[in-house]
Order: sequence, then C-alpha cells, then structure tokens
Amino acid sequence: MIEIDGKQTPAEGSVLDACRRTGAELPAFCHDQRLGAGGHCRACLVEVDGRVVAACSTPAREGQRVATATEQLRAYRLDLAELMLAEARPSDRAGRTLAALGARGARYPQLPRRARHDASHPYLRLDLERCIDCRLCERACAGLQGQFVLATLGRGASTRIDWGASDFSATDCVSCGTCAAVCPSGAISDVDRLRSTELPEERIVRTTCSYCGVGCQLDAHVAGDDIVRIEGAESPVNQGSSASRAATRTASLGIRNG
Amino acid sequence: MNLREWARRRAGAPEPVSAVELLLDPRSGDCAGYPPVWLEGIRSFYDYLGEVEGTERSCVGTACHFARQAPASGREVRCLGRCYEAPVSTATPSAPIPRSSLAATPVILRHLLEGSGPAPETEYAALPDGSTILRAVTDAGLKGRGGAAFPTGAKWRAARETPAPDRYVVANGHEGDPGSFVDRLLLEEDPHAVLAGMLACARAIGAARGVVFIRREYDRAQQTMRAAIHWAEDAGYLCGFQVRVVSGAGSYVAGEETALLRAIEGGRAEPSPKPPYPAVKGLEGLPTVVQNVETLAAVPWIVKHQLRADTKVVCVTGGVARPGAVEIDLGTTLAEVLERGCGGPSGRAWKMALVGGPMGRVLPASAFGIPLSFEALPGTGHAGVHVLDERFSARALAEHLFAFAAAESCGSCSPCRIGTVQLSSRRDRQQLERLLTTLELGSLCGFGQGVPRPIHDLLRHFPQELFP
Repeated sequence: MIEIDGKQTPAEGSVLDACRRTGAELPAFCHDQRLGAGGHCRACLVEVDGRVVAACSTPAREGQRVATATEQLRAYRLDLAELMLAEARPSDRAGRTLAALGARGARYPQLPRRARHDASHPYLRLDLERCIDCRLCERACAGLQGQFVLATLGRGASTRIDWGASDFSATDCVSCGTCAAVCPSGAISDVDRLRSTELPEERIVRTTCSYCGVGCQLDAHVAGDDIVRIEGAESPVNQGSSASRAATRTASLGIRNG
Repeated sequence: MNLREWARRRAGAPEPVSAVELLLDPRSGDCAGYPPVWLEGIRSFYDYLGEVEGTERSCVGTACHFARQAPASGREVRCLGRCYEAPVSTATPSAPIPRSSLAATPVILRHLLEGSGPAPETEYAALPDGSTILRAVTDAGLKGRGGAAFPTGAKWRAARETPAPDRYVVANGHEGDPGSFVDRLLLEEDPHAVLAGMLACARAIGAARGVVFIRREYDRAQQTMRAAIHWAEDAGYLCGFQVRVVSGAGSYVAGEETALLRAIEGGRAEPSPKPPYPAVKGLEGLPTVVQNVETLAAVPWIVKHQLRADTKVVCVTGGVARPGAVEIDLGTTLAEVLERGCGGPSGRAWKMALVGGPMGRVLPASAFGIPLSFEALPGTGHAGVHVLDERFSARALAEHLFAFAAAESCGSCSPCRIGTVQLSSRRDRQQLERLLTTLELGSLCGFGQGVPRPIHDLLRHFPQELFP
C-alpha cells in the first residue's frame, strides 16, 4: 500500500495513478494513460517521503508516504501557473485548472504571442495562442495513430507545435480527431466541440460504433435529441481512439439516443 | 511506430540514416522518407543543422565572454573548449592545450605529461575478463566525472544484470560546460585510453556495440577518435566490439544522458523522465551505460593497477598566469590549484571563481581555501574553474548565466522553458528566489534544476551587487 495524504491505496502504477485513485486533486496537463509519462508540464509535483518528484514519472512503491498539498507545493504550482500564463492563454480544462490554482497572469511579463490560427480544415480548428506545449497532440498523433502530422519546432522559449504547411488542410492529417480529444488547452479543437460548448445540457451516452466489426466504444455527447460530438471511449478495443469517419461524421451515423 | 521506422517504410531503405545525420549534410535536399515537419523540428532544435560548413562563429563561452572587451560580432557558439586562449573564434586554429599535474600519481593524464609511461595501445591487451573488470571498478570506488558523481560500478552492474539480448556502451564526449576542455584533450590526444575504457565497460556489462558521442564543435576530436577506432579494429584489439562516432549538432542539453541517447537516435535532444534509467533501458531499448570520457579514460589504469583513482582534471581559465588542464588529487584546495598549478593571479586580485560551469558554484576569493572534492563542494559538475578578478561584477556574471540558461534550455518542460527567459526580468531578490525555487523543484532534468545553483551563491556572497 501507498499513503496519499493519509489515505491508503495499493502501490500500483505511478504515484499519479495512486493519487487519482484516492481522489487527490493534482493538476496534470501532459498526462495520458495510453502514452505514459511525458514529464513536460511539471504540474503534478508531489512530495514522496520528503522528496519532491513528478508524480507521473515516479513508480508507486510499497510503504511510500505522499503529500500532495504542502505549502511549498502550493506555492510552486501557483508560480508555475503564472509562468504558463505568461506564455499562453489556454481555455478548456487547462485554463480552468490554472484559474483554480489562483493564477491571474500578472506575475511575469508576457512573452511574445504565438499567433498562429488555422480554420482551413473541415473538422479541426487550431489556435496556438492557447497552446501550453504539453505535447499530447504530437505524442498522440505519432504514438496512438502512427501519423506524424504535428511536430514540435524550435528550442527553449521559441518551442512550439506546428504542422509544416500554411494550411492545416494541406497536411496528411487523416481527421481522426485524436489531437483535439487529448488537447487540454483548447489549442486544437474540433468543430463539434466548439459548437457543443454552447450547449449546457450536454450529456454523454456510451455506444458502439456500427461502421465495421471491430466494435469500438464511443462516447456520444448528446444535447436534446441531437448528437453534438462523438469521441473514442476508454475500452479495451479502441482505448480512446476512434476512426475518422466515426469521430467526424456524427450526422451520417444516424444514431439516436434511445 | 517510431519516426525512423516510418521513414524506413516510406523510403523503402533498409537502414535509413538518422535524421540528424541527414540534416548535417546541407547538400542533400532529400527527406529520406522522414515527414518534412519532423525534419524541421529537428533542424530547428540544433545550432548547426543546415548550416554551410566553415561558417565563422565567435565563442561566447564564459572565458571568451569575459575576455572580450566588445560584444562578439556575427554568429555565436557557446564554448569551443579553447578557454585557455580566450577570446577565440572558429576562424583561428587552436593552440595546444596546456596540461600539468599536481597529483601524486597522474591517472587521467598518464599518457599526456612529459616522460609519461608505456604506450596507450598496450592497455587493450592488458584488460582481464569482465567480472574482474567490474570488481576492480567497484572496489576502486570510481565515480562519474561528468558531474553527477554516480558510482560507476553500480551503474555497470545494473546494466549487466538487466536481462537483454544486447547492451550498449556510450562515451559521453559532449563537453558542453563552458570552461571545460579535458574531454577534448583526451579525445584528441589519448583516444586509445578512452576506447580501452569503453572496451573494458563492454566486457564488464556484456555489450557488443558502442558509440562515442562527440559535440560538433570538436571536429578534430571526432577525426582522431575515428582514426583510433580504425586502428584498434585493424590491430584486432576490439575483439568484435563495434564502435562508431556520432556527432552532436549543437545543443548544450544533449550532454544530459537521456537527451544524448535521443541525439544519437537522430531526434531532438530532449531529456526524458527517469526511471527508466539508461542502464536499464537506453539505446534501442537496450541497457546502455553512458559514461563520461574522463571516467572511461581512468578505467584501464584502475583495472591494471587495482587501485583507487581519486584524481580529477580541473580546467582553469580566466585570471591566472598559466591557464590549462591540471590533474589534482581530490581534496586539493582551490587556492593550491590556482597558486601551484596555474602560477597565481595573472595581474589583478581575484574576486571570485565559477567552479563547474553554468550549473556549478560561485566562490568568493575568501573561500578559495575549500578542498575540491565531491563531498566538500557538491554541484561542481565537470570542475572547470573560471577565475574572475576585481574588474568583474557579480551582476555581470549573473547576466551571463541568465543568457546561457535562456539560450540553451531545450524547451521540453514548462518551468525551464518559460522560467529561464524570465530570470533577467526579476527586479528584487524575493521575486528572483521564488523563480529559482520553481526552476529547481520543477524542472525535468539537471539543466533547469542546476541553473539556480550559482545564482544562489551570487545572492549569498554578493547581494548588494545583484540588487543594489
């Protein structure tokens, strides 16, 4: 067993996994269970037996005691959040988390904006001003889909994600939507998601894709009688991924919430 | 699927060149199956990719920065390992590296001092079996000379005991720390000692392949090491151990061991989280021992004599009469190194010294009595010593270190990517210390974690000069 803020849980997986199991609130922007620890965002720092480490890349060991909210860690997270807001203007999950940490974006001088927007693609929208360089899109594109559409360019403060063409629609993107699904900052979104943010009564219905015999599990986001968005669901078959036709052709699926 | 596998399938080539090798040759406009945007990602990470060979660059490493009266013009390079003749540029040829010893028994420089012992080539044949080598290295208490001072024997044992079909030995010749040139000295003038050390490691851990990773700035070291490998192969000394030289492409962080493995694979030299450690999972997923050049050079001597090698080569530059590489017994005081080894001050009185490069320590002259050892002065990295005399301010050194940190941060983790460019914007001590803590606690690798180290020292010893 491993102890997280006084709560016991089996010492399995990473310290971050263990924290999630006990319900400890720990920000983590660059983590995806399917991709393993990226170690990029450094938001999930915790104290393990007195040592400060990143929870995502630290294996949970028997008998460890973990503190997730010491004074030092709170101060660290706020400062990191302030730094992140000097670089980007994230929305979505990342934006909400940074605000919840108390960051207002006033502590550090703003760095030059990365003003790159793209609306050329039929389903995907890109706005790099929101990007926090978590690398999830790049890693998901390569590691989950075996595509190399998105890549990180530059070094140091000029590091940024890019797609190499002037229009995103000119890339070899297969429109699977995985990048938009993993993006925590709103930098990459799909048009369905953009629309769905305006629908307060949205709920999620787990369903099975009917396109082929694989049996991918999908989460249909439903508002009223309409499917507003389809996402690959966590299941042993498709592990959160989905084929492009399933993710982007919600209308043609003809599924209705029954 | 990894990038190289993708390129292999696209290009239909049996074994594609690494992306870095591809880009190091600017004449080739071919993508060799790599996605162009990924090639651009790699090109834009490094300093030298796509550059015409022979482009002149002025060195702005610590010694050259402070030796130069006016700002450097044109393109820059952060250290050519010629700090003893600072300031330099790539346009002028290098003078030989001055070397000497204060050690009772010189080990690292054993073949490089006047009247030195038997020819280096004899060391290959003298190597015993792997278990004997591992025991000798462990018993000698050898610690890594690259900066982390990790016990070498323990690292080798971890690699040996990890079940795997093959293993790798990697010599880290990416001497990025401005002010250090011992690796260059060894690679250029005693490559057989380094290669024999690699062969010893290969035998101890059961590795069939090795890589010598040498930074792009060290052209001549790459040539001499390649020639040494050919010679040793032809002479039959390597007994099937396959070694190749891989060139860096211009990035300080590539010296960090996990970043270095990425660089060898041809990608962006960004560190990855540990565990897994390279000794368990490194190149091609195989157990890989990454060892600094200076550490490896000591190994044949240790194995032969079955003795401890408690010496270190200290590279001294700046305000001393005779700058150069000095081998010392660990525990020798800094004052003794500067006075006896380097002839004392070159003119003006000493003010402070930066020990161990941009992630090292700053000592005021009043503290030069401190012994140089892993215990007495932790965090001194590769132990380059740059002495600053009274003309230079602590603020100037801090600004130099801030600029270095911002220029060389790889950008992979948030605190270091955003924090290093914010260092110079901090207007009071409290603001700066808060940012230093964030860098120290949060950064993924030793770079961001180490950037605050000399700044803390400057704040401790020269608070008035930093924030008047």
